Amino acid sequence: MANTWNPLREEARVERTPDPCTIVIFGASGDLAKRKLVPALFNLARERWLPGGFSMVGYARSPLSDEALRAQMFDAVTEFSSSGPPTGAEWASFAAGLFYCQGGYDDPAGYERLKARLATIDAERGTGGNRIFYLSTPPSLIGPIMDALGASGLARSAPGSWTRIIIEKPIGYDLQTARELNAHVGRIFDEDQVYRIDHYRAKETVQNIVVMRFANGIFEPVWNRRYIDHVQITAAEVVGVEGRGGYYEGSGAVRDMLQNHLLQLLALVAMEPPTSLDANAIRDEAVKVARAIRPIPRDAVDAHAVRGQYTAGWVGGKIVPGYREEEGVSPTSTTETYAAVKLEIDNWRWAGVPFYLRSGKRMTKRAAEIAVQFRQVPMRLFTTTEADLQEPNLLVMKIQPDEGLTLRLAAKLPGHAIHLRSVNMEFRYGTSFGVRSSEAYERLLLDCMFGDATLFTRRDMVETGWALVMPILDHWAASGERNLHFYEAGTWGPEAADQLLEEGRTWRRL
Amino acid sequence: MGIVEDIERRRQVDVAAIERELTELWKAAAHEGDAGAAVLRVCLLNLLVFTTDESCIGEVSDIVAHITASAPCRAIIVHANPAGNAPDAQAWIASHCHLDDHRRQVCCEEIRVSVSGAAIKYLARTVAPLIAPDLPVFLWWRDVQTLREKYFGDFLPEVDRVIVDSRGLTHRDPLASELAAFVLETRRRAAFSDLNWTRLTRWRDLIAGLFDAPDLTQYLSEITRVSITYAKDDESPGLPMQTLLLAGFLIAQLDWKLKDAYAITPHQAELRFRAARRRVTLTIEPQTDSRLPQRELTAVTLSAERPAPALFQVVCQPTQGTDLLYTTTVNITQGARHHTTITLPALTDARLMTREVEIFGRSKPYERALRMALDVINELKLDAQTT
Ligand SMILES: NC(=O)c1ccc[n+]([C@@H]2O[C@H](COP(=O)([O-])OP(=O)(O)OC[C@H]3O[C@@H](n4cnc5c(N)ncnc54)[C@H](OP(=O)(O)O)[C@@H]3O)[C@@H](O)[C@H]2O)c1
Repeated sequence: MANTWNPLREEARVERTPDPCTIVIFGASGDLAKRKLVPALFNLARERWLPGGFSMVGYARSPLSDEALRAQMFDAVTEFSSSGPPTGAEWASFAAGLFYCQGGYDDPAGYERLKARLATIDAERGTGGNRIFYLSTPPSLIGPIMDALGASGLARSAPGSWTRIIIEKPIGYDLQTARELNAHVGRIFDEDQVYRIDHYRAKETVQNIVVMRFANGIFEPVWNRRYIDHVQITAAEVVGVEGRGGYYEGSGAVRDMLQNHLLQLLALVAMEPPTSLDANAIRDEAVKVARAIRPIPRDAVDAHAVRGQYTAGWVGGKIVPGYREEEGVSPTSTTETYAAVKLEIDNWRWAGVPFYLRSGKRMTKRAAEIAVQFRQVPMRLFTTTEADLQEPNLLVMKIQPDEGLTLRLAAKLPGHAIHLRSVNMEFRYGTSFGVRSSEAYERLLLDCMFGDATLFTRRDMVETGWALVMPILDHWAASGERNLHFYEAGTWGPEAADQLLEEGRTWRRL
Repeated sequence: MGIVEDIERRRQVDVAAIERELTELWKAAAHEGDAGAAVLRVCLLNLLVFTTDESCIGEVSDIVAHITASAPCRAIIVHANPAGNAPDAQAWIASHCHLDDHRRQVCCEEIRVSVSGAAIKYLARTVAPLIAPDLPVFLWWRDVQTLREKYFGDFLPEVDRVIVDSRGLTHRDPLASELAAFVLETRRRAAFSDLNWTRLTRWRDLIAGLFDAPDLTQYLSEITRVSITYAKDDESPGLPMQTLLLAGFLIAQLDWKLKDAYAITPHQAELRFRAARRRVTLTIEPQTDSRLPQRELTAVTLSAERPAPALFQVVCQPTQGTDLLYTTTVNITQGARHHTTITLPALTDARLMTREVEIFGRSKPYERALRMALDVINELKLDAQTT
C-alpha cells in the first residue's frame, strides 16, 4: 500500500520512510546476517530511514532466546557497522524490535510459531502485516523454505498489506537449475514479490553509470560504433578464495562474477536509454541488450573465452599458495579463478564493437572499472616521432577502489616543436563529495521495503546471463585441463587472454 | 577523508592580482606535491562569507576548512569595517589542503578581503571578479542587522543563495520581525535560508516520521494539542525564534488558522487555532531543568483524541559527550506503541553550513513557516499592547 501523503515530509531530509514492516531473516545465525544484514538495518535506523515499529525476526534451527539473539547482534553491529558502534540507548531501542523464532527450515510447526509471532508483532508494534522474507541460508534450503512459506499461508499477503521475498546469489548453478529455481519461486510467489540480490548493482558508482550516460548530453551522441573502438570491463581481486575454497570449487570466475555482475555492467553501459526510471523500464532495456549479445558457438569457445587458475606467487609482500593448495580445493581442480571473454552485441549501436570482460582472483591489484576506448582520429595531422605518445581518447568509469571518472585527452608538450602527450582529466567521488556513501545492503534492504526492484535482478536477466555462458561452461567442463591456463598469483592473469584482443588492442594496465 | 593537514600559506596580495597569485599558489602546491602524490584541485561552489566582526574570522576560516572536506569550494571571506576612516581594501590568499584516503592532497582556496571606510560602498564590485565562474554562489551573511544596507543589496545579482542565522533572536527583538519581513519581501530576488531553520531539519524529520505509517497519517488532521519546549533562557526574554519557526511549520503544513496568541510569561505563550472540525492549542514553554544549551528545543508533543486517544512525541536529551539523544514515541490507546532512540551529533555551525551548501533554490516550507512565525509575532505584539 502506498503511503498516504504526510504533509510534514515536505522538503524533509528523508523524503519518506517505508511502510512499517517486519523482516524475517532465515539463517539469522549465519555469517551474512551478522556481517551485513543486521548492521545495514541498524545503520538505516540510525539514519532515520526505518519506519517506527520496524521489527526483525531471526529464524534458524539453533536454539536461541530473543535475548541471546540480541546479544549476538549487538556484537555483530559493534564490529561491522560502517557508521560506528551503537550507544546504549540506541541499541536498546533497536533491539526492542529484534526477535528470534526457532525452527527447522521444513518444519510446519516452526512456521506456525513464526506466524503467531508475526501476528503479535503486528498488534504490538503496528507493522500492519507487511513482511519481507530474507533467505540468507545456503542455496539448498531455498526450495524447502519457499514450500513451507507457501504451505503455511505466509507467502500470501493479507488485504492492504504486502509480502516480499529476497533471494541471495547464487541463483542456480547453471541455466537449468536457475530455471528450475525460478519456476519453483514462481509457483509460490508472483514475480513482483521476488527480489534477487545483486549487491554489485547497488554500488553507488554502478548506479552512477546510468546517471553519467543519461544526465550528460555530451556522451550519448558518441556512444556508438562510429566513435567507440571497444570496451573493457574488469573486476580484479587481490584476494584468493579466503577459506571459502569449498564454495568456490562449485563456482569459479564465470559463475561467481561474469555471468551476473560483469554482465550487469555491460548491460548498463550498452543499453538504450530507458523511457523512465521505473524499475521495469530500466530492467527491460538491460535485458534487451543482454539478449542482443551474440551467442558463442560451442565449437568457437576457445576463440572467445580464456580461463586461468592461479599458482603460488607473491601477493601483498608475502608468498601465497596456489589455488590447488587452498583448503577445500581438489589438488586436480580445474575450476577457473580467472576468466576473460570477448562478446559482441548484434544491434545497430554496437555492431562490430567488441566488449572484453575479465575477472580474476589473486591479481596484481584490486580494481573494477569500465574502460570505453574511443577510435583514433580519422587523420593523423600531427607527425609523430618516438617521443610522441598519441593515444586515442579513453573514458574510464572506475568502480573500485577509487570511484570516479577519467578522461584521457591528447595535449601539446610545452616548447616550439609540436610533441603530443596524453593527459588524464580526473573526477573522483571521494574528493568531490565527502559524505559516506551508503553500503550496498543498506540500499537494497531499503529499496525492497519501498517495493522498488530497480537494483534487483529480474528472472529473465538471470536466465539470459546463464544462457550466454553455458556454452563456455560446457566446453570447459568437457575439456579437462586442456584449455586451463595457469598464472602466477599477483599477476594480471594468463598471457593466453591477450589473444582475445585483436587489431593491436591490449588489455589495460590498471 | 580526514583533515590531516592544513597547509597555511597565507600571504597578503594585491587585490587586483588575486587570480594570478592563486595560480602561483597552486604551482607551489604542485611542486611540493611532486615528492609524494599530486595535488588535486576540485571546486564545486563559491562560498562568500560576510562579517563585520574581525574576531570571528579565525572561526569562519575553520568552518570553511570543514566544509571543504566534503564540498571543495572557493571561499571568499569578506570583512567589512564601516568605522574605518580611510577607504581601503586588502586581500590575503591561503589554501586549505586535506589528504584524502589515497594520500593525495585535495586543496581549496581561501581568499580574505578586508574593506574599510568608504570602500564598503564598492564591496560587491570588489568581490564579484573573484567568484569562480559557472559555479553556484552561496553568501553567508553573518550580520543580520546590516541586511538593509545597500552594499548587501548589491550582492543579490551575484548570488544564488543567502544564508542568515536568526539564532539569538526572540519574538521580542525588533530585529526578529524585521528579518522575517525582509526575507519575505526579498525572496524573489534570491533564495534565502536561515541556519535556525536548518537546525530544525532533524526535528522535522523525526516529527514527520511519527506519522508516516498509513494508519497514523490520519491523526495529523485530528491533532488538538501541541507543546513545544525549549531549554530556558535566563538572559533574554521572549520566545526563541527557533520555536516560532517550528510552530510556523506545523501551522502552515497542517493548515491551521491563527485565532489568537498571548504570552503567559515573558518566556511562555499559548497560541490558539481553528482547524477542520476542531480547535488546536499550541504552547511554547521553557523547561528549566534541561541540561541542553539555552534556547535549544527539548521536546515536541502532539496529541489527538480521535480516532483513539493518541500521543506523539520527540524528546532531545544530552549525552555524556557532545552527541544528542533523540527519542520518538508513538502511543495509541489500544493500538501501536513504540519508541525509537537515536544518537545524532550536535549541530555545529560547520555541520550546518556543510548541509546548507548542498541545497539550492528557494524553500517553500521555510518561507511559509516564516510567514506564520511573523503572524504569530505580530499577534503576540498586539496582545502585549492591549493588555
Ligand atoms: N557470507 C557472505 O558474505 C555472502 C555474500 C554473498 C552472498 N551470500 C549468500 O548468502 C546466503 C547466506 O550466506 P551465509 O554465509 O550467511 O551462510 P551460512 O552462514 O553458511 O548459513 C546461514 C545459516 O543457515 C543454516 N545452515 C547452514 N548450513 C545448513 C545446512 N546444511 N542445513 C540446514 N541449515 C543450514 C545455519 O543456521 P542454523 O543451523 O542455525 O539453522 C546457518 O547459520 C548464501 O546463499 C550465500 O551464498 C553470502
